[in-house]
Amino acid sequence: MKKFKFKKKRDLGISRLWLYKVNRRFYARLANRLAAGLILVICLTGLLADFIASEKPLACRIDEKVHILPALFSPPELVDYDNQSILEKIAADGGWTLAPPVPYGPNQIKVWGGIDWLAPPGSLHWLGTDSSGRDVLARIVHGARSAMLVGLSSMLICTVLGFFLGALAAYFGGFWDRIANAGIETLTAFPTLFLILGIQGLLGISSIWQLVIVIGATRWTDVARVTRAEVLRTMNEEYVDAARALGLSHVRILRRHILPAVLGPVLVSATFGIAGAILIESTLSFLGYGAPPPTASWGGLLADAFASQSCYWLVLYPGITLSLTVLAINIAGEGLSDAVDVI
Amino acid sequence: MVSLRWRDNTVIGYVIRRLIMLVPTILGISLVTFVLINLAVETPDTSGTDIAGSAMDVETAEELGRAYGLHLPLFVNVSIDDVRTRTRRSLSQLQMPQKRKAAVRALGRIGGAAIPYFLPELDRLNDPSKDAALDALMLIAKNIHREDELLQHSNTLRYWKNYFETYGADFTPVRAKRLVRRYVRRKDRLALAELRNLGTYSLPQLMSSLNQTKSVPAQRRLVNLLCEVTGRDDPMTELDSFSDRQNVLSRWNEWWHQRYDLYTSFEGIYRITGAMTETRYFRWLSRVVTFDFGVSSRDGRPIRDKILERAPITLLLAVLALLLAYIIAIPIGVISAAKKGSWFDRITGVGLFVLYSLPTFWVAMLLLKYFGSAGFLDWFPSQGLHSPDLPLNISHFEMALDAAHHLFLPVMCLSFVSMAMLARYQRVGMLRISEHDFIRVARAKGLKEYQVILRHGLRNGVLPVITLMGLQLPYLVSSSVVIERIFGIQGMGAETFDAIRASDYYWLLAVVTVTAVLTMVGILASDVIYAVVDPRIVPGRRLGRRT
Repeated sequence: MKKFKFKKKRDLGISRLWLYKVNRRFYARLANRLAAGLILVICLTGLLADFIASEKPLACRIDEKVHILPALFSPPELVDYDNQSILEKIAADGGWTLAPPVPYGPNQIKVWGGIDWLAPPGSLHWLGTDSSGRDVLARIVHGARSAMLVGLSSMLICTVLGFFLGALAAYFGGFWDRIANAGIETLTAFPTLFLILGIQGLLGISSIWQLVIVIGATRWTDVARVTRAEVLRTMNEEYVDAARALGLSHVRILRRHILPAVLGPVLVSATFGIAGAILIESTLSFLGYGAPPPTASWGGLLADAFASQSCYWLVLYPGITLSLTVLAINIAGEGLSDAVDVI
Repeated sequence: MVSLRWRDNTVIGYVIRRLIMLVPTILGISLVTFVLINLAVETPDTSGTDIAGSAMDVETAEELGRAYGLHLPLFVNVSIDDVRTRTRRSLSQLQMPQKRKAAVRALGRIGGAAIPYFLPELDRLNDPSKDAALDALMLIAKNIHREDELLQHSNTLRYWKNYFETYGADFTPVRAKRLVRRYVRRKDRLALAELRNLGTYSLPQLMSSLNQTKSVPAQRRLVNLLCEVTGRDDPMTELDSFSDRQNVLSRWNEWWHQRYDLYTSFEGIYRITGAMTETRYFRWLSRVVTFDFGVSSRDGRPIRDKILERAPITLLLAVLALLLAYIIAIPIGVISAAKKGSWFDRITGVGLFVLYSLPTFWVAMLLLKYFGSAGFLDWFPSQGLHSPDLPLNISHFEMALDAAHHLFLPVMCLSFVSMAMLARYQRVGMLRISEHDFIRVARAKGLKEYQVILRHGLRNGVLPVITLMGLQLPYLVSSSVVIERIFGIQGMGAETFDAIRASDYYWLLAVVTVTAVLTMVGILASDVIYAVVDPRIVPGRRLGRRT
């Protein structure tokens, strides 16, 4: 007799449909499309910062040798060269070079052998230079990297932490719920900047990852609160009762029946959280306790602007970039919450 | 009449229950900061032999760690380390050749307090350790002012035996207390001489009467005696002002708080309660509960005084910003809800969303640049809370005007994000209310539109916005850090910067704790206001039952 076997079926149907609907509702609005596009551009800028603004060319031919992406492989022959000195060398010895769109590195000070402090925007430096003579545009491009790094990875920590704590507290209830609630309430009471400044002061500023962990460890309460409320709401649904009556395990009920239902609001809260984390990062960098000094950051640029207030280009451009980024993420979050709300 | 009895279903009962719920939160706050201490203030690295040799480093490390109670166990202390156990341990270490030097130094550091536990054991030591013990006693003799006498004797061992037989009975708490009391009452030379001969043994009594006495000359006498006994140079002179005297006293108290277990022995009941109280966490908790965060390492002033000086400024900013935010947000929200879809609604909708996304510090910089005194329009002063060259003879009104002139930009910058958020919530709340039946009834009975909105709609629609006050407070307090920095206001945030630069850990821990407790209290207050305004929030309370 042939042994009867349960065939394992993956019921992706509903979730695919849900994703499709959310997607369609989200992209129906022009503002959401624009915001999503801007976020994509900023993420790509952060990712490809080394090829958009770099002191090394994208590709060049020097001394009869072709180098491709020297910023990535850093060949020993090109250590002493930047875009400008390569141009001079080509004019003398022949060859060719393909400079990146912004031909300056974020920490490059010398341009054509000289230093240009606080140069206003012009043909050489499109957005001017800062008080150390570094190109503002190059620093904005590289600042996108630290902003997105801190925003995305700290929110990843927050979401994972808040999601699990909130879901477990709501699902098991009773004592654990009270403990989790007390923890959330306690952490909410701390004014964020005082807490993070205190931590940074006590631990010392070591790297940008410390900032990521600190923000992640202190800001998970929003996600946890949303998750808890949503799980509590879902627990009253009949299909959860049905799943219980079938004798399914806690893990399975949580994973297959509750978590998909609460994913939407959690995603929304995480999106707003990214904007919040970026604001915290830039504020801390502005105060001088964010990413350690040579790292390019929008807040750090604004701190420089605060020190030399007559230079409008230092105040305006990084600030506009930062505001636009936060605005785009907030619009996306708002659009997402509308799209997730009604299915 | 609403009864004010302590019942579950009254507002008073609700407030009391909320107050009781504050206790675990304060415990939680102290736990979070406690974790921070233990993450940050690692026991200083003693492995490297830097300049003065490793033995010295261990001692300095212990001294540093003492400020945070690092010499204590975390939560439970089963074997309390007091002066008796320390002396015994050092005595047994005297017999180990490699630890002898450190033990001699440790005994010397304890001073006179070690005598009642040291001298009876003198006979039991073997010969090589006896020499080391005499070295240690030489150090102790300095502390109890017997050095000259000791040098005249050729046989120091016999001297010490005689000494214990003659003076051993002097080392009792009762006698120390009596001597201190005599010395407090008047400048008694005899008592002074005898107190000097007790050395550090009299420290517990000295400290307790220092805190009890109100007389300034007595305080001065005691502080100067303390300087002599402990070798710590922090005297009180006749020229000191009141605040100087307070600072000296709190520095001594802090010093004593950090190392009282070096000089006291825990007897009887204190040995049992000490299992809980002599721990790292309990010491921190007692600091949190009493708001006594020690002395700033930056300028030697008590942290509590500094906080009492700085916190009102930060709170003033936050409260003014909160008020401003509500005053602007509620009308905007109400109007845009009443005229849903109009151009006003659309423009404010977009504008509020943009405002909500703007970074506070950037806006502050822009406003300072274009409206501040150093900038383009020169409408507002850019720094501080009042003009530095204010004449003394102006009226209160002019003073308030000057303060308002200075506060305008900072408060604006602080409040706009809250304002945008509150206005959006107000709009949503009003829209939700307008779907209710009682609004339709109000319209149907022919009330004017403004009456419907203001009398029936707003009263209910404003409630959820009031609950948001609790959430705004942490945000406003934390944003004031940046605002204070940009506008040069000397609040808690500005002090925090200097503290980070000077590694003033106490201030950092204190400011994190205090701001959290303050916002807790703020949240409590907003909950209470909500409960008063909206009786439905008090659970179990039925309206109209008791009228």
